[in-house]
Amino acid sequence: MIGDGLAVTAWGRWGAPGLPDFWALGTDRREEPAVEALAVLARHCLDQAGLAPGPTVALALALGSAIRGLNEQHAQAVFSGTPAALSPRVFLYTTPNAVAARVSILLGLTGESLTLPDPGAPFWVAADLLRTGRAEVVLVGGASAQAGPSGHGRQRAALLCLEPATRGQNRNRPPQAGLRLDPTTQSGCWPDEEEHGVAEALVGMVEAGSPGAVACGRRGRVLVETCVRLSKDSAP
Amino acid sequence: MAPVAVTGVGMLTPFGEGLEPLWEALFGDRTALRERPGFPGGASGVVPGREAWHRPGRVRRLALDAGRQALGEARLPREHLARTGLCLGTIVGEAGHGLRCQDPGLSPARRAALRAAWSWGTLARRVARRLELGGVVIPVSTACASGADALGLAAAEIAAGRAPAMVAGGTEAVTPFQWQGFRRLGALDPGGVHPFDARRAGTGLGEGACFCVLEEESQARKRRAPILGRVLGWGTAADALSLAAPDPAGRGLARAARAALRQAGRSPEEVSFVVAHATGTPTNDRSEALALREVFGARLPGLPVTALKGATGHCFGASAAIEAAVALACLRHGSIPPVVGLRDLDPGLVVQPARQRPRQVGPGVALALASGLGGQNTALVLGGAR
Repeated sequence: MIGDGLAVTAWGRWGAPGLPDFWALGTDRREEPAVEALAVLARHCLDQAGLAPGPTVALALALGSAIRGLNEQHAQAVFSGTPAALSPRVFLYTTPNAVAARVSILLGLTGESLTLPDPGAPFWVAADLLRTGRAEVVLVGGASAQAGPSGHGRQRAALLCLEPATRGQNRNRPPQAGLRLDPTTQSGCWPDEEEHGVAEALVGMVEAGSPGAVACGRRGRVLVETCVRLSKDSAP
Repeated sequence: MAPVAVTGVGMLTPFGEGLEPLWEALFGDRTALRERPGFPGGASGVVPGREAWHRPGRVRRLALDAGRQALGEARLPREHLARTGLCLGTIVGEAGHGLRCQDPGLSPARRAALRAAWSWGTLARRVARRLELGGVVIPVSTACASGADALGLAAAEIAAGRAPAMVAGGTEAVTPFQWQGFRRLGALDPGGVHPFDARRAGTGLGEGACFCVLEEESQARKRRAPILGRVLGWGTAADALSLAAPDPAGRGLARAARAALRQAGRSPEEVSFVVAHATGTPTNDRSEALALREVFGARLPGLPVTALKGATGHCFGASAAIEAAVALACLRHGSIPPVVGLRDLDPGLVVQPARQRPRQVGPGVALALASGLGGQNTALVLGGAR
């Protein structure tokens, strides 16, 4: 089965208690809401897993609607003939990978960085990056702005830290759960506007300690295996 | 990565449909870039006969035409389509929808429909449906590297055994959305695109679509499909330095190139030529030259290098796929075209690109590079048909 042996060594959901404050990252200005959410979650995941940023840590993120508000702002300015009134920064954020780029900059992540505007695709890409040894760790998840221009309160985001199960054991960090990808199951599509959705659902299962599956459109399913069983199996 | 065969290529560029008109223009040292009404302050290249950016679903149509050409060349049997997937790279997708839905005269229902259609996932799924592809659908948006990443991701899908074939590439259109954005960034040169030239002052925008059919090599050989070349390696890396400017030392691009060569199991000595990203902006070309120096060292001054954007303009999400397809054609022909727009080589750059006349290249593999806003870097290692 593709994806067997993938361990979840850390996770986070935007808005959950216990996350560090954005300013704890040491920045001196506010960022776009999706950047703040994912940067905080990435820092939290790296800390929780006992990892340092670097070229072996990859990002695989589902982003699209998270920047819809900025796209609309730019489109409105162009349509009304006033693009000069907007900061060039707004245009830079009309491409989804700008969010991943800012997260990389804030945390010093120089590994592979792939932005896939689809809720499930990043998990399959993450599995490949780990399987082929292109990355040792992948931070995988996504962010969405739920309505209108992207306000801080409306941002939803979730992130998981994936590693080969054996790597976590070697660092004396037993996995909290295992992910398995099931390419054979056909199911309906996850809504476009909820790029964070698959990651958030998986984080919920890991937190609850219960196995389950999340449909990823035509890609099949991502399965969370039984946390307890995995932890026992992989205890050093 | 197990080699993945390319069995079909389709494209639309500012020179027209298919590879041939682009190939002729490149070897004839011609550019499609010129100033156009509605796009002031710079030069642009648009697909002939399809200039109207506000035509509904234009980005999708460009992708469909290129995809159909590719499938036609690959002669992929209809029964294979059910398991064939799509990997579609684009930066802003149907940005024309985003502009049109600002019209206050639109009905709420029409506006909502346009907004819904301005989605990367929707665009990719619609293209897949129209091409009758029943496999996985992966939208990818990694700035100007999108087309290359789409090819790399598709090759990885096949190598992992999840798909026997994929249609992969990029699509993008010139609209006022990008045009005004690049103007605001001060990145356009009204005089055209002059890669690696001492007088280079910015880029020009092009548009188009390019899609390739990738297949398991064994399947392609079994069904006696035309093998146009192979995807051997794919590497990406983030600069993690700036949203707008590349790493001045080109370190991220060098890491991506090394990763692609490593995956292909090739050394820099086996690279017979490079298709550079070369946008014609002062910072990009300098950064890319330094990346090449880091990878190739003392060999760089003699290494054949070419670039396309002086002819086509910067076709955004489609550009890297077009460049990869041209690299495959160069491998087949044993020569690379001159860099259109290059007259006076910047003496500060160590590269020696082909100037004004084609250059013969020896056997080996091709390295195609792509960089994008946000410090995105991607490299593909491409092989010939054998």
